[in-house]
Amino acid sequence: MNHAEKAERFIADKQRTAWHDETLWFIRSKRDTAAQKLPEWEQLRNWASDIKAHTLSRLDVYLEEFERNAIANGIIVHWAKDGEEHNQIIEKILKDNQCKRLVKSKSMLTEECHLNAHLKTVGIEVIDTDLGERIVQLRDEPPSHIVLPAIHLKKKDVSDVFTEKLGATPGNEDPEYLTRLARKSLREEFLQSEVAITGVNFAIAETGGIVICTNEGNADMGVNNARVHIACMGIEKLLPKKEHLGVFIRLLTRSATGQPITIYTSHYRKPKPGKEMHLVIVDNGRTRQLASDDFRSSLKCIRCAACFNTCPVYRRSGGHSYDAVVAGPIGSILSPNYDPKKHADLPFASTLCGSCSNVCPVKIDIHDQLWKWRQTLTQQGYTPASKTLMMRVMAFMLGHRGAYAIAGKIGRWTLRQFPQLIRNRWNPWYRQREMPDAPKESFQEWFKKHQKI
Amino acid sequence: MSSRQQILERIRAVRQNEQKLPDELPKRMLPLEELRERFIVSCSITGTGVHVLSSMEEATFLFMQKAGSCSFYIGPGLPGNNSIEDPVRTDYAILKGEFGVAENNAVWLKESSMGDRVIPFASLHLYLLVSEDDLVADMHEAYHKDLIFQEGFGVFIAGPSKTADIEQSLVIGAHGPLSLDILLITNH
Amino acid sequence: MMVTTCSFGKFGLVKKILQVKIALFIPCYIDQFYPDVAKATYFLLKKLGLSVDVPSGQTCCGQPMANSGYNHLSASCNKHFTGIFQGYDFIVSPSASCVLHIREHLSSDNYPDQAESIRKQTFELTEFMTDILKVDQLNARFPHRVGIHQGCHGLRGLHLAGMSETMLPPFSKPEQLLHLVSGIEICYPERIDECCGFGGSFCVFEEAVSVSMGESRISEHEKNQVEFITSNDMSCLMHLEGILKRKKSPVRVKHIAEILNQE
Repeated sequence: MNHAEKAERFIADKQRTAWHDETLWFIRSKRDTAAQKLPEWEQLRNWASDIKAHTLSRLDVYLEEFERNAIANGIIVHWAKDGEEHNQIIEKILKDNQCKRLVKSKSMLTEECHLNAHLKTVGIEVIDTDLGERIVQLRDEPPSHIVLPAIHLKKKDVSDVFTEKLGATPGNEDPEYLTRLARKSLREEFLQSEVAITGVNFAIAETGGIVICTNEGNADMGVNNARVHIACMGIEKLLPKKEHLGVFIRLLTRSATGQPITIYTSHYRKPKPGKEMHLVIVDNGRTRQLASDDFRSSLKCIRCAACFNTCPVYRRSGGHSYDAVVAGPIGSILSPNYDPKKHADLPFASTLCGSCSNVCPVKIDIHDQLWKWRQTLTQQGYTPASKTLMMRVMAFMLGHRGAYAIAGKIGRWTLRQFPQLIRNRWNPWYRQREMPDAPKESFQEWFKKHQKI
Repeated sequence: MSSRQQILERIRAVRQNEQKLPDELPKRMLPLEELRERFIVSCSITGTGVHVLSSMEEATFLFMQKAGSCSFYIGPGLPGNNSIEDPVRTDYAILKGEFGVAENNAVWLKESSMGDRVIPFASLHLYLLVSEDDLVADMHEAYHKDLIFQEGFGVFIAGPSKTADIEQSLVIGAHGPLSLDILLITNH
Repeated sequence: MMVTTCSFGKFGLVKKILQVKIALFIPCYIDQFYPDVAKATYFLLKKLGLSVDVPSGQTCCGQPMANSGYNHLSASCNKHFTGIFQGYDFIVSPSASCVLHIREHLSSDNYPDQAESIRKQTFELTEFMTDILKVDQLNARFPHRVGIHQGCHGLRGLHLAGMSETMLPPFSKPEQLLHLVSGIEICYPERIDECCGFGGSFCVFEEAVSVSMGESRISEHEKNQVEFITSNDMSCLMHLEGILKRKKSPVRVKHIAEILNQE
């Protein structure tokens, strides 16, 4: 099933779609309010974009500097060229520590590498500790949004799964009650877990330290209770200097939720004495993206999801309709790099309205890249043959004035004389919309007769 | 070739011209005046309690009153002795913050003031002590401080832990403390 | 070219404008389905004292192929377009979306230099009126309550108005012109510049999302009790009109040229 078909299913529940749309639009509005309070907003975006572009242009230098400093800090650094290697590195650390069950805070990279599924096959259980991620994990489904993983669910859905899995009182849908229940159950996990996995929001080359941003405090509860901390990061997470964080921390949450900063902005530089800290630096297709002039700048992404919240298509189709680890506009330009065949539909799941590029705090030209992916995927043969045929006919007709004039005439005549040929349920335009009227004369035909006016 | 080498080689193979870093970033963008008022307003937005007090002693006294008969923890550098052995089970904790940020109510906490890294997250109710003299305007100013990344661990805390993952209903008290109070020590 | 040295005032500078060669580009779907919009544009420009050519045999800008991922098939369309429209000082069109496509993507192996200059010389009607002609009075009357639909390509592509996402000072070229129309009452929907969901072939390949987006635009305009929805992009209006008619709404659509030309 492609995006359009999945979106149609999502939309069929009109009430839920309206709620989904309005809730995410509200978050977009909160982002606007937060941004309006800073006269320097557009300046911050320019700086953020320039810092990321610079870092990408010297990524090898900064990675080496970062690694050098991290090792000096006592961190054990690993490199993984793909998701499989990433998973194997983590599996080995876990086996070395005889770990069978561990806690993990939000990390889109581990989702991308399908770490949980891999560890399950070797008998290790991962407990996701971000509340939203825990909810979807208990429901055995993927997150539908990178910042708000359970945004597709209503409190009844949460109550139902907590009743089944955590022993909640059936029918109690109070969010505070449900949150406390999760808190209680996860606190036990935190206290028992020997290993904690986290993602990385920013890695600073000059200090060899990392920054992790959360609101719930789950990353820090996990890391600081455990004996072993494993942080996983893509190669693009680097910033040269700590002073650059001033720009990014100011932009990140304002763009994501409208908050001026996350509740916790944690700076890990060294393991606590007697404990271990590992860092897994992952490529998994990023260097391929780096090589592309058209798509390189997608690596500037800081995963704030502002483009999700503003996207009218995302808001009305839900994250699962994208069938990708990262949904929304940014996911639609990242995913085809991993699997062009599977994700060939995503760059087309957009009207190219451009709102995504405007909200992006690092100024990725998302809608232009969507357009470019359309060209790339079409030329690589990933679009349906029927569409190609249709386009060839159309291109011929629109490239030749005679063909155009005749086709227009015939089209309008048919619409007037045999409307049922066009006004039928096989015509997706007509399913929920009337066809425009078909005038007897085109403008050019009229103009020929009246050009003296 | 190791994966490390492979990755670095791939990056070098596609190296572009160096993109320019922005010229020196400003050390501050928000005006300095009324830092205290700004800070207090920021706290009210995140649901952080603020108490303006005149001394450290007054602050710890207030803290002890609040803690009552519950277990409590007094961080390094503050007067008093703590009541517990297992920091993970602390009900009330008070820690010394290094500085506060007016634009977002964040307080920087260094590892050596925590006693144990887990305290600021595991305690049920957290109290942070900040001197009014140690307020900065914004994150640019904050990140120009040498304190950042100086120790093995440090954290900005900007409110009680929270989540809105269930139907976007805000719930204060996710995995970290259920409440945060800032004890702001004035200089006059 | 002389264009840069001319400052076009309102009506005092008609003479200078007469020396300029202006072509009207009427996109294919307007030509075929909305000839009245084309006529209104033509007469509006005449009313402003301009002499306008309508080069015969014009077809399409090539956007339908390009936005569907088939830009490589639009060569014959581009060649045709470049051949027809070369030699003009200005090419004016009542469709922001098509203008954006020309500006961003027109290229031609046969006439590369001409294509390059056409990209710079093609203007959307309202920006032509505000930026080049600097129209500040208009003999037009439209005593109705009108909702403005800001088409995305005009807004975020051609920057015809300030965008809700960016924190820059607000302005609007289309609204500036509509204010010159007497009797008109202008209002915006709550989400001031959300996409209507047309999106070219998106409107059929993603029919469910497309219609859902159109319905939300319409319900916000209906809440404002507008009589008409206007835009500088007829393609958005064609999509909205389809939904309005199906639900038998009393709200109608009118291209901005028709309003500006209404006396």
